[in-house]
Amino acid sequence: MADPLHQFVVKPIVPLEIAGLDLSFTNSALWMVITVVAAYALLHFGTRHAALVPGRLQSVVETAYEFIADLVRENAGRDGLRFFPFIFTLFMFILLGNMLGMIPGSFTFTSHIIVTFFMAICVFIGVTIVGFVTHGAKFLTFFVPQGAPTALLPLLVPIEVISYFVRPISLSVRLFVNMMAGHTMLKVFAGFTVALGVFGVAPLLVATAITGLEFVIAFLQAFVFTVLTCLYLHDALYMH
Amino acid sequence: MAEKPDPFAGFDRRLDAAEAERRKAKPDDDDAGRPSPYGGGFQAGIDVFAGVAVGVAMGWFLDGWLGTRPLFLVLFLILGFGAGLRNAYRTMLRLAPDDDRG
Repeated sequence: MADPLHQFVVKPIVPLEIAGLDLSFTNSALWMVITVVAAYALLHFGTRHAALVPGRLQSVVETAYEFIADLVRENAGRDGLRFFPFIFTLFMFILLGNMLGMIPGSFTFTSHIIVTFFMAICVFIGVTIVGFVTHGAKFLTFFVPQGAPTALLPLLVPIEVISYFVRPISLSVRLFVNMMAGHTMLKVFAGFTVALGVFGVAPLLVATAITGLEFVIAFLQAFVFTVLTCLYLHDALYMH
Repeated sequence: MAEKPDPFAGFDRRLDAAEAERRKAKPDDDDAGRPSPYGGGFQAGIDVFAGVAVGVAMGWFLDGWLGTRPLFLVLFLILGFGAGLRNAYRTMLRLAPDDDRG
């Protein structure tokens, strides 16, 4: 039976080593490039002949734009719209990365914790900077829960501080676990299908159902990552 | 030849009506894209896991630095669990459907 984890192996395509660092262009990097090109092509060709009554491609682009604009407005507030370009880029990158990862034989870079963790830590550091730039040192009072009795503060403040530092971890683990678990499950059932011969029809049905579910998860996890980014931004901008 | 009806007759009125309809429908759309109960539980589980993981990591490094193993490890394990629950609670409030909000 084929190894269900084989799909996650990062292979160098163009080996490159600078000052002892392995900077090879890998299949992971290749699919990131494909994702960026696909996102750029979609937005470029979707808006090239902008018409009052949109065509198919244009309406896809407009739906995506309005969806994220509404999301930012609702979850990060009006001031959050300043960060719309970043959040839209993030959403398109994760969404297209997840979706392109559904193509058989492709590589899902969002199923690697280092990729999702890097995105999460960028969001985390960026949001913290926004918080301090907006509120100055007053941002530190974010860690003091409102209306809590003073006697409980020595317990509550460390919990609030830790829960703040947990954010990049839970944000990245959420995306990575969902993508990895789903893709592994698909491969396992596909492996059963081959191994069982005629009786492989049963796992084939399951694999078909999981494929549908995986498309939902691919969208949902891009959505959740974006919503949580907006909520963190909201905390930094308005503090409570 | 019969006159074609003007497609823009009463356009503003129809647009206003459509927009009012859209605003009215908005609260119901709120659940769009939210995870299923199973998904919501899974999300909250990740929050608790991450809380404990970060707490343990912080405690471990503080102990290594101050040479007090296992004092801070135990302390931060408990605090991390609290922080994880705190985050899970927040996630559930924000991602769970409206009727599940206590």
